[in-house]
Amino acid sequence: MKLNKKSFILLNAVSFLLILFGLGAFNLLGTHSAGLSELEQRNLAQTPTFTWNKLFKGEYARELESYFSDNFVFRSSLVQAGAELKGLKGLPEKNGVSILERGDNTASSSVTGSDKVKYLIMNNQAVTLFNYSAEAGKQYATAINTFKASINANVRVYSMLAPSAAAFLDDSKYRDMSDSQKDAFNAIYKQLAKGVTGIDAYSALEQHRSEYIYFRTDHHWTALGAYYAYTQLMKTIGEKPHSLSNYKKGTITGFLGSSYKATLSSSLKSHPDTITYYVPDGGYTYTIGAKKSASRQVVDPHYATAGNGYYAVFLGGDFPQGEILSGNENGKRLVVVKDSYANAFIPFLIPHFEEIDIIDPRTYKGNLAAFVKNKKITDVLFLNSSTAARTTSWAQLLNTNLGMSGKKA
Amino acid sequence: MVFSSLFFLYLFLPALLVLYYVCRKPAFRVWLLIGFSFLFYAWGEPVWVVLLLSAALTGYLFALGIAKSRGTWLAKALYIAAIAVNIGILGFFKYVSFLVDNLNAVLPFQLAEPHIALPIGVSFFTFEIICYLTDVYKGTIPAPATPKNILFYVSFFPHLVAGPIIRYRDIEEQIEQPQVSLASFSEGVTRFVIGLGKKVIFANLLGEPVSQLLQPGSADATVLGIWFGVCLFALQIYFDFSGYSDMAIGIGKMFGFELRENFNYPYVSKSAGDFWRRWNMSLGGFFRDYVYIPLGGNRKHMVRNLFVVWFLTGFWHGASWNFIIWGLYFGFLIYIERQFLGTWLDKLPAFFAHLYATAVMLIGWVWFYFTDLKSAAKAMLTMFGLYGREWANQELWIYFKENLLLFVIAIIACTPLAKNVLARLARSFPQLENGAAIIGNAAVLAIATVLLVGSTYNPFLYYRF
Repeated sequence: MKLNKKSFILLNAVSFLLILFGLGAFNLLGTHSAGLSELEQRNLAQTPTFTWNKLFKGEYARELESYFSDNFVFRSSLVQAGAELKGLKGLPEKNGVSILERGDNTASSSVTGSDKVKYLIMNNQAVTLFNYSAEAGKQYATAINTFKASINANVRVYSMLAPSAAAFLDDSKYRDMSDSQKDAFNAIYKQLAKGVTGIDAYSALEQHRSEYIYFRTDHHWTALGAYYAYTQLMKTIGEKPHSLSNYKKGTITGFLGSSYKATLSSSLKSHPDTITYYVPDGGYTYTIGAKKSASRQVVDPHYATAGNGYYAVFLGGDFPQGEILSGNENGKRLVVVKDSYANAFIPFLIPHFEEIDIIDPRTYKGNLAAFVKNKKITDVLFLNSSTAARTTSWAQLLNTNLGMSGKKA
Repeated sequence: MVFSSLFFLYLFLPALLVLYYVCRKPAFRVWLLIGFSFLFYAWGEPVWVVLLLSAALTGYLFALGIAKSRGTWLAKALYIAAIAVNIGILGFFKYVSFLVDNLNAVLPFQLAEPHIALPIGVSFFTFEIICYLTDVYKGTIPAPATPKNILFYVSFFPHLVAGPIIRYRDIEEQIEQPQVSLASFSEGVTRFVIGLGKKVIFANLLGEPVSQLLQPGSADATVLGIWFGVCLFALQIYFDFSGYSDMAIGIGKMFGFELRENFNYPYVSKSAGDFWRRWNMSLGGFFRDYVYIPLGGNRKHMVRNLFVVWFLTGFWHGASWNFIIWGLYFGFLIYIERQFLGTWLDKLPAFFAHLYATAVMLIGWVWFYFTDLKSAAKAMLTMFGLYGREWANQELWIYFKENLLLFVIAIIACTPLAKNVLARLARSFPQLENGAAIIGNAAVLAIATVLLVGSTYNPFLYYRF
């Protein structure tokens, strides 16, 4: 088809206007029931309410604009398509390797350079690169030591640092892009005061490195990985771990976790994870919050689809505070000061303690030493991911939210 | 508001196009554009509308006074006062914080931090008003503008926030009678889409590895990593800025206005002087016509004039020492090129001149990128292997591979090569030429839209734990 100059001019203008007005009209007419974006785990922007004050500050315009883009027609498909398009900028190769930097954008964080995370994606797997910060390690150890000195000397205190998958990559050229977590953790354990026991989860996991101990599309360890870490704790405190075969086992397929959500990598999307979970015997009660909620299950596949994401199978997700009463009257009362790595771990502890309290310093506020005293706690476990060795923000959370620096929280 | 946003593309622009083409009276059209321009400007920071409006109106009044008293001392006094007002506006909003910071560093007592926010576009519209007043004073503009015309000249949204810096003479006649035609609209569409593609596809994608490779104070920096990062940054800033100018020119055409060109393939330059005749041409033109030549140009005090112009050029880009260094660096290069280097380069094969120009320009971008001098100096030392860094690492290799295609296409696209190849293809396949162009434009618009929607993806996650 040969186009003469005149029809070219016309068609060029018309096709541009068709797209502009077509999509524009679709947007205006389309029914926008914004609501929740499952993938982003956030509520999409709502129609802004008008006030003169907001208008003068420019806030109204900004809200209107984010409402417009958050509710753009076909948004979720276009977002996926955008991620695919971006993937074309490199060498066209199968199993392309990429690095994506993402910042923590949650409300409770203040993103600084060191709070950003680099995702390395290779072989249909994403890991977060680890950089050791000696200062972060020092602050973390100091917080625990100060805390230990402030409580009854008979209370046993443990610290377990959970390595991330970056430590166990098969290919050394990718593994070496991160600092050694083994060295970092050992350096931290060495700084712990007498009476605080470091638990070497790293070695326990390393022995099983070829097994499915980490998700590929999520930054957490699997329940199996958590189990091996649990056996190490049992070894340290001199108890016999329960065998996995005693648990009722279930699986959930098609899990696309946090790393996928952060990167939208198509190679992750086409290789989702499978969650294997181990259900402990009933007979316990698990409640969340300071005011007791109704009792829940500590491992429940129904949570997978309840909005908090699949990893919420374990403990139902992250809450400021939780309490498990096992019914074993052995007089051992544990508090776990934790991040989300502990969620898959804690259910294994039920047979060994009478009471397990769970405190998440990201959202809980209150003095930990007072908590230990009031609840007559016998054991304290700090279970943290390698983040504690990477940025000082974890130690700062312990100090400010739990009052571990000795100052009042 | 920015052009490369969904809100602009799919609401603001269509709405304006409908209203503009529904009504055919030129005066109405101009007022409509003024109204939408103020809306565009008010979008992010509504309070600054007052500043824009008062800058335009004082410009108008000063020009009236200057024209009335032409030839007397009063005209000169008014002209000087008018320039002082505009420099004052720019100085107050852009440079007071910088001045206070530097004074605090040397004074025995501390001045309070002023906390002044920079109104968008202030660097552009003050310069445009200065152009206008100077031309009125010199008589190149015989009659001063009407309030409508001056408002339009200063506020017309395509050039309002990032140039090109236009001259009143360029558009005076167009305001009376916008040259609307289907041909010019269609040209505008193509130009706008090219600019959108430059910004959203090239500049935005190039920006991601740049921020990773050129992290100030990064312990992972490598020699080749900095070089690669600076090359990517050079491309990013070209596509960003020239893309913006293309969109401005394209939108102007859609409404029947011709704006001046701002870029002419700067990366095929053969010298620093050549680069500045091709980069941000409307700014270079401003400093040439309104600073350098009035100071005496090449005829008297050339060294002083060069120093003043390049100091100001650097300082105009930002209130920070690195921009001053960047400006003076180019001033120095241009001086030695005039003294002897230019003739040397002319004698060598063109390849060496290109190599020289590319190298000095890349080194210039290092000083432009790092606003903190220590980081800039570290990056420079690293680039020349003087900072004890590795040559490369695994991370760099991954960045290189995952951006290679974009990098190569971007290099080709910033030279006339792509255009020439397309022109040759068009000659070989005349039957396809126009159809392909239409499909190409639609495809770029579609891809840009997809990427813009993609950039609104903002997952709420605890990445760290």
